[in-house]
Amino acid sequence: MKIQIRNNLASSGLAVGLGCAAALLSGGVSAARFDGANNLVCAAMDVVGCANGQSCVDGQARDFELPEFIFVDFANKLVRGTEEGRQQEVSPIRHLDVTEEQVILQGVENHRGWSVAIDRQNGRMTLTSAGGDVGFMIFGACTAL
Amino acid sequence: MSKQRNIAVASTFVGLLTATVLTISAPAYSSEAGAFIGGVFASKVVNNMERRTRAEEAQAYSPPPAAQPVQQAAPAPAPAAQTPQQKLDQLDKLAAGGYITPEEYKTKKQAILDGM
Repeated sequence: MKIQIRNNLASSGLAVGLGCAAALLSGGVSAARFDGANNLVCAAMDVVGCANGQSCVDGQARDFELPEFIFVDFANKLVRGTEEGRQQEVSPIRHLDVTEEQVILQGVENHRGWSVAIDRQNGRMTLTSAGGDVGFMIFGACTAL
Repeated sequence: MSKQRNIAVASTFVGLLTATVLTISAPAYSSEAGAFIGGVFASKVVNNMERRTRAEEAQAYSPPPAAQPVQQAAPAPAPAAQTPQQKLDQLDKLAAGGYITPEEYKTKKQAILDGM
């Protein structure tokens, strides 16, 4: 139990740290690093999920038992999780677009479409996924590796 | 003999071509296992949403908490039907107190007597 709490605190702290780091790294330097070439690690923070005809639910990523970190591997065009002790899940990036303001990744899996938009200035991440009358959004922050 | 071999080769070629076309045109959905955003994320979010929805529905349909038994005051005993004698006595008191006029006294007294 203590280990679990400690792990949660550690990961929460890391998530907050990532957010702060991403926020602090504003300006030209960070914009250069969020360029669709440098790999990123992103922390999932807040989640909102909606089903057609039902009210939406929201909470923190840990409430949804989501992987707290997401790696974006631009070289291999993959998004993957970091959970240990299990088979590594990956999401192939089908489309990558780098605009002046956002790095946008898009993909399709299991009849669902997803997209990730990363603000090039501050690294804030917005992930959306839609399909099967259910849509959800995940907000978080990324930093370049 | 050569003609038959040519037909067999052609059939094989057409079969391979058909299989190739079908493979290319099939939507490239990732398998359920191993999918990250459309797999792990989606299933955990959807499961959590279903769990919360069920919990909210269960809460909405649960019976209200049992009401605490309230000690109610004992109902006042219903007034016993008055006898004609009691009615006449009451009427006399009302007349003696000046609450009713002599005409009203006579009318009421006659009504009591008629009801006997």
